[in-house]
Parts: sequence; C-alpha cells; structure tokens
Amino acid sequence: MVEKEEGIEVNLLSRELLRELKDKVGFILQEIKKGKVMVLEEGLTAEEQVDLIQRTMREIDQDSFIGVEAPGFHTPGAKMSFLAKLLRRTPPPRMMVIGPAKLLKTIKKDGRSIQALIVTKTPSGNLSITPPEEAERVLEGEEEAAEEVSDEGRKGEEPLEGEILGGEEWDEIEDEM
Amino acid sequence: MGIFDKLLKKLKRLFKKKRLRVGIYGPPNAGKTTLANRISKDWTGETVGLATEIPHETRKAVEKKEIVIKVGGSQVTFDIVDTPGIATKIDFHEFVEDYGMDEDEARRRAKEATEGVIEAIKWLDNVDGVLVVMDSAKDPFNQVNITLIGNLEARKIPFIIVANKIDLKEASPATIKNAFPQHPVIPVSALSGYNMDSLYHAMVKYFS
Repeated sequence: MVEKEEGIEVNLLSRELLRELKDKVGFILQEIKKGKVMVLEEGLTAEEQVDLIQRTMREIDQDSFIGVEAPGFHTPGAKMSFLAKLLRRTPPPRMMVIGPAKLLKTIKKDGRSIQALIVTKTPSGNLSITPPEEAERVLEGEEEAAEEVSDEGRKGEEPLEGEILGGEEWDEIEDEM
Repeated sequence: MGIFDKLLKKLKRLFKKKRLRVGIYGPPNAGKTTLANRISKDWTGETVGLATEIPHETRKAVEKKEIVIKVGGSQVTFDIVDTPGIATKIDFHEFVEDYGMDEDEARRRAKEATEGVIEAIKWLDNVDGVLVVMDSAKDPFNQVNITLIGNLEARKIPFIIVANKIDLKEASPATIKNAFPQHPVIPVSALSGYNMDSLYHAMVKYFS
C-alpha cells in the first residue's frame, strides 16, 4: 500500500496571473485559508495589504484561522521619479511571501532579505490545519480562471495599455530621467 | 520636497483648518496609549486610556479633543485619536499562555481585537495626520509598519514616525531612521517624557 505524502503546498504566482484576477485579495485569502503558502512575483500594493488585513480580521476564527503572515519589502514612494509622479504611476509592489500565520513564521527581515519558516510540526505534535467550510467556497469563476492562466500563460502577449510597469520598465523610466 | 509639494503645502496653510485630527497608529504594544496619555497629560492634565503590557489593551479608538499645543510662538489645536493596534494575526492562545488569562476572556479579547483593527483602519479616512509609533527595541521592518507607511504615502497623509521606548537599553532609534530615511523620525520615551518637546515641534511643523 502506498502511503499518501503529506506536506504544505507552496504556490508561485506569476505577475501575469495576479494581474488577471478580478479580486486578487479575495483569491489569496481563500487560498491561505486552505493552508497554502504563496510566493507572489508581484506582491500586494499598500492599499491591497490594508484590504487584506481588514478582510483577514473579518475571517478570523480562533479555532481554525488566526490570520496571515505576509512578509514583503517596502517600496518607498519617495524614490519615484518626477515623470512617474507626474504620470501618477506608482512603483509596482515587490515580491511577497504570504501564508497562514499558523504555518508561516518570519524569522528575520531587513530591507533586503526575508527569512521565513514553514512550520510542519509544533512542539506539541504535528500541525494540522482544518480549513473551515467557507474556505472551500471558490470565488466566482476565479479559481478556474487562475488555473487556465497558469496552464496557458500569456505567451507573446503585449503588455496591456495602462498596465502597471514592471521592475525593468520602471527602471527604464528612471534612467530616462 | 518637490515644487508641487511646496505649493500644495502653501495652499493648505492658506486654507488651514482650525483643528487638526491626528491618529496614533502602530502595531500592538508599541506604546500608542502611553504616547496619547503623555500628549494629553502634558497639555490638558488628563489621560486618554489605560496602558498595560498586554497586547490589544486598546480595542476601541478613543478620541481626545481640543489639545492645544503651543511651541515656538505657534499654537495648534489637535484632536488626538488613540487607535487599536494593527495586526495581521490575532491568537487567543497568546493571552492565555503569556498573560495567564482564562480562555473565555482571551477569546473575547481576541474577537474585540479583530474589530479594533478594522476600526483603526477606517479611521485613516478621517485624520489629517498620523503619528506612527514604533518600538525602538524591535525590528522596524515588520509588516504592519510597512503596510501602514505604504498606505500613508499612497493616501498622501502627512505622518511622523515616533521611535518610542528609547529609555530601554536595547533601543535603537537609528535602525528606524535607517529603515525609513525619507520620513521624519523623532526618538522619544512616552513613558518618561524624554524628548517630547521635539515631537511637539515636529507636529506643529508637519501637520499644520
């Protein structure tokens, strides 16, 4: 008989996938509640982070979900170039790790690196996460959309008009200035 | 400061409000209520709330109105809002294991704390300035500080970082300054009152 392997699912989400989600924060929160840890190529904006905190607080259930751990880097607004300020472009958020607070622990963080631990065992025994029923609810159409995008990708597509610039594109604007 | 910011500041001064509402924000146990009490006591003789070492002691925002601060020939009236600590996680076990609360009380505190976080964030829509309180003895790169500062920048709400608890031996306000070099950082001890004058000067300078 083959033993079923157990572990913690870690998902890497691309910038393209994240940008296509209609409710990015809602999607992420539902995934976290299922006990998944996610690495976001492009993290959450400051506004999205506040939205995540508010929605997390509403979802906290002391027996199954105590909140999120979401270490990321600060993107200082003051570093924006004159042109960027004039165009009201904000720098894109930087990479972020995000997961259930019971599983993901930030060990050390400074402005340039983040060390985190994914907990699989507590001193009192194996860690178990029981997702509440609500976590099973899939946000309307989004999970399917997400799977579709991750399978198909957006190969060869030109960036959409009005899209937030990526890191390199951003640097180009800065260089031009 | 850019030319647009200077112009905006001049325009703001031209139409400046008679009273400014300032929110005191930060993670739990950074010393927000101690700071609110210190400011209020210095200028009105009254305190605002109960400060203890237990996290999430303040679970509802408390507003202390008409605090008149007079510094260097200027006089500004502030309404100070002491907000509940912002957190990304709240675990009732912490209150039981670390502070000896019974389970029912701990669960109730945790529930109220979640509501407090939501209320604190809502207050951001109604403040003219913010004092971001950080514990100088702790890592300034925590997610709450970063989220808070990112939001204040995005909303263009003026703010001062208060590097609190500099009376502690392990305090390092310089670490906070290095973490957020583009923003004003005032080291204080709200508990002892050390360097509060610098904070009052900064409040008049940056908020009015």
